[in-house]
Amino acid sequence: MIRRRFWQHPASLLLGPVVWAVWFVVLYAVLSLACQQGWLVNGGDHPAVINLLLAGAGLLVALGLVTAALAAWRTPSQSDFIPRTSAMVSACSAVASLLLAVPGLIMAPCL
Amino acid sequence: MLPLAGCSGPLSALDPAGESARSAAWLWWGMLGLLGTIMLVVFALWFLALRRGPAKTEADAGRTARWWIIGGGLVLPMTVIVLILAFGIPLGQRMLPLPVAGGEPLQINVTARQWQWQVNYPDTGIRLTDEVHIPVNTPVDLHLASDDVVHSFWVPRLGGKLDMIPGHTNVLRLQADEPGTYRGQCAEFCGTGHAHMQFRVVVHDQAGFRRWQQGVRE
Amino acid sequence: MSQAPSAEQQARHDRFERVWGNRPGWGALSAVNHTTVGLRFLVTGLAFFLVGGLLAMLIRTQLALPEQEIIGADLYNQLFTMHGTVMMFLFAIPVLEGAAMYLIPKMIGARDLVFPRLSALGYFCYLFGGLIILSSLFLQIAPSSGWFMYTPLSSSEFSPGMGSDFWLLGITFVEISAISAGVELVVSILRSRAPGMSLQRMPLFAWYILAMALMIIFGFPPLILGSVLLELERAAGWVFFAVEGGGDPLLWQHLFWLFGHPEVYIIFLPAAGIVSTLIPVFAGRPIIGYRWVVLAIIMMGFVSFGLWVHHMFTVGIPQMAQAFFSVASMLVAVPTAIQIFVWLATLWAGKVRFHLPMLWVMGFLIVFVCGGLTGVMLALVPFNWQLHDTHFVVAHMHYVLVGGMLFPLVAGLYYWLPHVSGRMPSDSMGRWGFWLFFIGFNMTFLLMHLTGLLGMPRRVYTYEAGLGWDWLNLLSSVGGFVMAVGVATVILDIVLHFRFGRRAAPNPWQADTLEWAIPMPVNAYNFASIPEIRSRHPLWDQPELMQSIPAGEHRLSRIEDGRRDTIGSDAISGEAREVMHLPSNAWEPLVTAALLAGLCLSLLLKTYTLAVVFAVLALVACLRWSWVNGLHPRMAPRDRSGELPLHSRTTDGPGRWGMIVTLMADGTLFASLLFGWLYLWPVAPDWQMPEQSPLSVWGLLGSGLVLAGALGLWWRQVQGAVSVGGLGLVTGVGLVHCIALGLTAFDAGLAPGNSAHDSILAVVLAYLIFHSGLTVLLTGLQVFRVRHGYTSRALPYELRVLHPLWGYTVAVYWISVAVFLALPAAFGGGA
Repeated sequence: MIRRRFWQHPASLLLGPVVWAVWFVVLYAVLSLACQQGWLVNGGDHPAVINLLLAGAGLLVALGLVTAALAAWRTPSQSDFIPRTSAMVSACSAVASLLLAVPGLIMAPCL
Repeated sequence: MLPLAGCSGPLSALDPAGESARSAAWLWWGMLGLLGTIMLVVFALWFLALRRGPAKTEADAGRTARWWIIGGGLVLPMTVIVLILAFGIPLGQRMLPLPVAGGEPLQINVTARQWQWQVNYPDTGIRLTDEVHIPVNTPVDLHLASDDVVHSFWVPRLGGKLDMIPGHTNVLRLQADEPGTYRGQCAEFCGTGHAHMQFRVVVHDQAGFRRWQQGVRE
Repeated sequence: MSQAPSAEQQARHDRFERVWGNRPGWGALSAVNHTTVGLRFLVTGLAFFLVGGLLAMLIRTQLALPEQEIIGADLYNQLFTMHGTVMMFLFAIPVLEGAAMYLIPKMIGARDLVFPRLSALGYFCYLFGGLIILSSLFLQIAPSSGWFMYTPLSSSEFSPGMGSDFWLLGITFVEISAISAGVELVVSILRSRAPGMSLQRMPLFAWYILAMALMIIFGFPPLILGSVLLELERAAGWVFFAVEGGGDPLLWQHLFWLFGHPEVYIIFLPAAGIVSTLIPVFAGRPIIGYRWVVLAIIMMGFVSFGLWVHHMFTVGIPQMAQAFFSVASMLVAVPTAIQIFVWLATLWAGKVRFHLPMLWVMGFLIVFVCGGLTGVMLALVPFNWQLHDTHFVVAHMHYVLVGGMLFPLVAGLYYWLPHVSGRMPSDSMGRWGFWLFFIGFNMTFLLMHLTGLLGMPRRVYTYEAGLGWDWLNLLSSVGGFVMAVGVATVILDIVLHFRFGRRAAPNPWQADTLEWAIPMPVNAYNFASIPEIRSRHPLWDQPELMQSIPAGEHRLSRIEDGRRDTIGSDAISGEAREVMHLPSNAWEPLVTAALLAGLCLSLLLKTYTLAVVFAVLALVACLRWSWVNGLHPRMAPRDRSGELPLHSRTTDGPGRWGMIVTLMADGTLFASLLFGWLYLWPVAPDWQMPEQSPLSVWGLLGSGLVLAGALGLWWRQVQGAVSVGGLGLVTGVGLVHCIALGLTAFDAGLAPGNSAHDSILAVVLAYLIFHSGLTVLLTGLQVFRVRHGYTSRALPYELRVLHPLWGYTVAVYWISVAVFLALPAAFGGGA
């Protein structure tokens, strides 16, 4: 019930982008900090553990958003505007989150 | 398309004489071709849309629209992005000061100040102003720093630019294909002397570079 | 008006005009009406546009030929700095805010924005700030370190004159108008739509403006913080960006572009909103993919905050971080493409009428798509390294900004002209203006791409002959002058149309949005009665509204006790919830803005005693303003029976929403400060973290606990136990907290002149003291308002408005203790 109410509320429109933004900040902050503190060797092995970790995390975030999008799409409601739009926004955010992780997979960290 | 002759010039990024600059120029022509085509197609579609009569039914309109929006709004840009990144990221990575097989690259320290370039060869102790001498076909690492405001070191025919920021040292890798003199220019606005803050990069062949080192030391 | 109104309608119109109209003569300066204020923004913005254009002409004159010395390096630097500053801060943003202020209430079926005096304050801050900035140019001491003010070049060491101070103080002053417009537009769009206009029936333009306003709320605070810090560094010698002492010049670049990139979309979104409004009208059919456009707007709003580093690809940031920003920068092409193809599909499915505004829309499409595609190129890091800071970027940026903002703006100007004047623009002269501008623009900037590729850097006042740039620059300059002739033609056309244009028929473009139901030329009150909206396209699906609204057949068709009012509605469903009574003409905005201008000038002249005097006077003016508010008899009717309650008698009126939105901006400022701390700590080369924090742990904890106690007491008041004694106690306890905090700050003996660590702590303490003090002051004021009966157990509205501020003050206090005291204690110590 609460879940259904959420997908009918306009706040659900922002769920996907907010997750994307948080993912972005976490990605950037973790990486900067790791390189700054020398946890990662400059231009070291590739793909390093961190690459796989980041790519995996990206996949998880994207999967989570896709699930959310499906849940929103299936929400019954008198007017489908908000749940449907939320679903589309979440789906787009899933793709965007995945794309963010791509460089993490193909590049060596800390260059 | 402008004739290629129009692309040469002492500071032209389209007249590359080094690996990095060549990659960038290649990226330019590639992206111009790809994105230019897309642009023309979009313009043509708009022109057609203005001339056309209205859609027969709302269902018709909806169907066409869905194709336009999914095809043009989602698939097209995603494909282009992935394509450009797939070519661009590896090319960019090759421009970086990666470790060189068989020894250290030649290190040169360049410190900018309003409005000149202090060049220092740590191996030999040679000091120059507004002039960098490097050997041909040899990777060179320029350690860039600034004494006052932000400057940016740029030799367009050899490669991209890198900023010189007080408190930081950035490393720029350059490699020239053929001997000659190349012009460099400060690219980050740095005050009244910005326009005239220029320098030369003189590329010698290997023997010539050794001769030059000797000559300066004496 | 083509049909003569009936006598009854005329009488109603006269009654409304008496209440809603401006005062005559000089009294017009007290106007707060959104139509008047919006038009003032537009006209002032266009005047600044002409100034900015003139500066551009001077720049192009100097660059027309190589090795010219018409304008020296120093003056040239002032010119290009001011060109960018004027165009961005004094033209683009204010003009679009003005357009939004004018249009939004009319489109959503309201009679005014919800905080009319705030719009007037914003306007005067903008006007005075703009004039202050401009005056520096006439005194030849204009800022000269670029509109991006990169430090150390803009620091007191390398820019010793007053130029940078003009920029930092003037722009911060002008930004008051941006933030106030942002708050006002968000709350108005969410809370004052005509009954029945649910979110999904909102015109797309309102979605665009909602996104823009929210982006202003989150985008401007980093710049405001950066400017304040840089001015503190310049004027008081504190350390934030200087390497010696533990600052880092890159922090400025981050803060600046954290604002600077969203700003591009703050400019683009309303312009795209104009396009999304015009295209369906001229295609004669609803937009296809309304939902897709909403999606694109949301994605754009978010993604645009994740691209700022693409202005900094050459500063030496780790590669993988650059790659993230590169991906994000390209991702923004997706929502853009969605909108482009939605417009395309709408035109495809419709029958297009090609009037003058459509010509400018087509110009927008061509120019903006070019700019967008070069934007994708520049988002690619290795390509960016070559072209960054060359004329290629100048070309790209003008394609995006002129294409993405000016072309739609002129399209909108022509489209809504009849609304203001009641007359139609001429077709032939308008076409001449368009083609001159379009050809001139492309001649100037298309060629400039090549100039950049051939290696011409930006911001050089002259260049050598024979580098391959000569003919390109000459042609660019010629194109620039052709463009100027185009602008002159358009302006002449618009001026002449007020005199010679033929009378416009009602709803001349057969539009679907509500603003065209207002009789032309525009009146002061918009709607003689506020209708129930049942469709996304009210004038297409409910055509009878054209007659029934002026005939007073809907809600609020009577003026009650000579006051201005409009309907407040539910943020989601748009159901009517309350009657909002709105302030009438007032002098407070002008007086407050003038005092703030005095503050700005005295800071500029470094006469700090005078600055304190002005600050206190401005505070008094604001308190006086807030006193005449809410249930004050000059503001609210004593009582009014009706189906809907008055907003000041509810618990959730617009004031509370305004408070929350303002705190979102405030919170962003605070977050930017946290970012500065967390950035400098690991990154700045000379950062020093003392072993032991200079702040007394016991002082901070004690003061914080007192604050928490005050919050507890306050909570009981809000929950219903409203009393003079109770609120007095809250004020007293709050005061104890303020004193304890002040003593702790004083006792710490910070030396902000020596270290960035101390400088940031000093700023944080000042921030906390300001918020605690303000909260206590406003609570203290409530004691008196309870005594006057403006607040009471039955009328807790104002306490509800203050409530979020209390929560915020306590939250930032404890977050500060955690981040600035506990975090260094755990991880710090010489790091």
